[in-house]
Amino acid sequence: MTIQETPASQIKEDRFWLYRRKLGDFWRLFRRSSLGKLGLALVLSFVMLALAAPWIAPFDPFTFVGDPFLKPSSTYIFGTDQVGRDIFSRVIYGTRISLLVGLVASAMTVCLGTLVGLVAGYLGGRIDNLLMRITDLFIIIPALPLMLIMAAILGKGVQNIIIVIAVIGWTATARMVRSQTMSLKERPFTEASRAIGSTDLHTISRHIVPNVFPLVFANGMIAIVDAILSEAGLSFLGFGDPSRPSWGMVLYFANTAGATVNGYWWYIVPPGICIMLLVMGFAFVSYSTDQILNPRLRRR
Amino acid sequence: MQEAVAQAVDNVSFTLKKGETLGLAGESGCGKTTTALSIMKLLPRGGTILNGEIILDGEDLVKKTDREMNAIRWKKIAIVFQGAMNALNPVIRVGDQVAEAIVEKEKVAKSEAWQRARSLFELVGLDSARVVDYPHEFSGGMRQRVMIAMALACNPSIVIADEPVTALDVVVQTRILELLKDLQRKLNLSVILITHDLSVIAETCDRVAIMYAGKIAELGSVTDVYKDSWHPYTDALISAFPSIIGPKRRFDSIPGDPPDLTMPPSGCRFHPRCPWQDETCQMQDPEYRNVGVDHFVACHHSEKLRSRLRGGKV
Amino acid sequence: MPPQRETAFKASGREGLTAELLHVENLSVWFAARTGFSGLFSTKQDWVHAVDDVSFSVRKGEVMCLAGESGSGKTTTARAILGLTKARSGSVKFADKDLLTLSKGDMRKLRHKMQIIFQDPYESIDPRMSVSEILSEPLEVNKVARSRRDREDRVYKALEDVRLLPPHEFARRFPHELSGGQRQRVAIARALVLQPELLLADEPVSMLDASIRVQILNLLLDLREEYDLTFIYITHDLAQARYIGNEIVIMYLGKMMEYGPVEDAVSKPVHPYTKALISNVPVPDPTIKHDKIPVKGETPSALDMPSGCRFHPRCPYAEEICRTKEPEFAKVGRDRFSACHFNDRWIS
Repeated sequence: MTIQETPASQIKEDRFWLYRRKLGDFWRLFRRSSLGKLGLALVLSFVMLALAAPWIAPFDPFTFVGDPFLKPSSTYIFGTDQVGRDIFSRVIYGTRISLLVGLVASAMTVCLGTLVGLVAGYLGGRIDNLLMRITDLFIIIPALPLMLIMAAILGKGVQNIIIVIAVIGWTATARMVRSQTMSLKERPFTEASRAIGSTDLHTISRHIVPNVFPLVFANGMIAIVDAILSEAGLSFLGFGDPSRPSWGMVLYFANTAGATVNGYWWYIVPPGICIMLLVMGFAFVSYSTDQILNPRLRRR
Repeated sequence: MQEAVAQAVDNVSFTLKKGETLGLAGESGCGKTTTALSIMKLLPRGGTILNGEIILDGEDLVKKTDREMNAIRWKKIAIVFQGAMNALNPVIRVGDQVAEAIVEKEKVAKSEAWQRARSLFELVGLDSARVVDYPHEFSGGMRQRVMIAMALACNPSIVIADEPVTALDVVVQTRILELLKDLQRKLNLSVILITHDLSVIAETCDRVAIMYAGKIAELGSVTDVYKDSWHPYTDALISAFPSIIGPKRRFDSIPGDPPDLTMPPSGCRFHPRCPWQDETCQMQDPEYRNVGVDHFVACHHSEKLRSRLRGGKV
Repeated sequence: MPPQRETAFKASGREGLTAELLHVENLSVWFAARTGFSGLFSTKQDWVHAVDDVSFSVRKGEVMCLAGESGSGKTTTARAILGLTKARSGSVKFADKDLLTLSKGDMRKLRHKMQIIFQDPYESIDPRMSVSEILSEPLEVNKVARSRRDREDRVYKALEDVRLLPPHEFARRFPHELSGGQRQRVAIARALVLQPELLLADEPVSMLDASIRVQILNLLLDLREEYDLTFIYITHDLAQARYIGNEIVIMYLGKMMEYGPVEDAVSKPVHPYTKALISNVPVPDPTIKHDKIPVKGETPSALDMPSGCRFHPRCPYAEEICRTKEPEFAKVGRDRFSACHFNDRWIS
């Protein structure tokens, strides 16, 4: 019997169509959720803002372009800060840093946590014990003081903030991935993989990782929210990078300039609202993605 | 993600006589559990009874509202759900769980309900002192007895048992089936026993309905159905259960798989797998007809095939 | 055990001497029992004796049934043989090696000779892989059939063997597009693709519909003939064991109760447990009435192991000695063994 088409290449094509169909299904379900669409719209708006900053921002965020503490007007939409810089432009450019840190830090958190979780969950025994005790250590130590100490040691700089956030945040992902890995390890198809003679690495990468992925993805969305808020908090406390101000940094400057005391609301409110909206956007997307990935959560 | 309609039960008719055990047998997806849930009007969301009647004590249950059914459920008909023994609430004492049913349905005081729970335990062969224990302190067979006690709580006249012994070891299985037979005699119960296991049906039921793809293929006394089968599926299904006694020989299996009920085959639903199918079978749904004393079959060619099926064979 | 035996089932067509493929000797598998908080502080370890002192051998081309009810240890025995569960003691001789002494790497090299079919067709194949990928995986992992062409050929051959035709159509499908019976065939094909000598089947049909069961049982018998395969078939259903098996080991709470040719064990059982089991199996014939030996109680948890003979609390013939002394696994006939103090009473 002649083989008309090689199954391998046909499989690749079929696989492509399967994923495309799955993506299509996912999108169709996602479209149904108004919350999800709102969230996505918010996130995408901010991403556009970040990318188009040089064209949207009316002024350079670092040069002083007017008198200090001017109230909002048609020229300076959010007014000016203590040295006469346009707050509107600073907020727009701040989108870049907040988003960057949020996305990169959460990616690192999730990767680190997943790695630890996979190794601990699959290998078990002493390695699991060791890794879990280390995880427990990081959980027990209060996050904020630890963050501050690390930030103080590492010094200012966006990359340091990213590192700090990742180092604090990985524990939640690790525990979750570990417990999922442990349960997947018992499932027959994982055992089958061992029975056919796979190495542990093969079993983990081929069978466990793809099945852990939906959970990690959902967790990742939450991690982004956490990262954005952590960055805002750290920056507000003064550990941010003044040369690359994020929204949190803007708030820091606002605080040190006495904006709260003097009632310069136009300085405080815009960055605060931006943080809130971006976080909400990701949270809404996460909520609807959860509903899709975990069919049991779907309402009929 | 499209929605489709599965014709789970199609044109099913049977009567249950007082004091008898009727078996509903068939493989997964044949509609036996759906039939039972329809009788209790406990279909899940998305399930509707399109037409037909269910007559109990001269009244049609199909026409009754949920409220009216509440007066009937448990009091006239009770059901032991499939796998219910594993669904007992682990943090509530079993006595409470049985008493709860009684209090709900008959509005008696809790103390009286507990008293009745105790006597129900005795009835099903459990030590009445154990009403205060928790589910995990009971073995599988004992938990099933608790479920039977719960079903009998309000003295129903009909009990539906869905796969009552499937998950149990074979020696425990015997005891539970004996218990059911015993209770049936003592309380003059009528029982509908649902199972895929034809050996269990052979040993416990008086009459049996063999279901396939939502329809009844054959209905009659167990002796008639097992020893004088008129439907090819009956024959094939009985053969699918190798026996522990009798001559050892190789069985021929039925090819193919049970059909998708959202797109059932045309004509006779069994025809794609039937070794004797012809054009009539492909186009026409066979009539469900009477072929003997209380013996019904739905097949175009029963008369011809009868001799080649179980009656004719040794 | 005597070194020469005849295979009984006609299908193999061979009689006379057959070589031993697998020899299990005094296999024990114990699990550490954790008892909550007290476990943290106590130094004494509690063990669950899942399998104790199991010995049997399997001849080439034979179907050996490991039969027993829940908690009997049959599945644990099989998994210990394959190295999926760690054994505490004993030996498993296969291909001139003791599998229990091999390192992880050496064991992996032997795995292609012994494969397993699991009980659950819905769980034992990865839902994210296509049938072709599922069947190629063993080949890739064992670095067999290096060229793509070679692999394809073997995948197709395996699909043909399990009657999933046309093979190129099934190769493209994903598990959710297959029925239960078809998935189990894929699982069998996966076990076959490495051309193993020994196949372990762990209740392969208990989750399938009745009409599919016989299909799969017949398929396994056909494959055995075609490829001269040897099976260890695990089941709780004695009727199935009778249909497919040559030899049978009846287990209870981790110990062997009876051993012998299937037909003998079923028609003239020796051990009281076997007798009780056989008599309680329902028969699909309403005109046959048979007395069932009543057995009280249910299988106890392995944490509360009865003393002496493990079956004694439930045995209708138990006497004082059964409570205090464990019976020996003694010869009761040609190739037949039973572990009961009163074997002589039961031998007809």
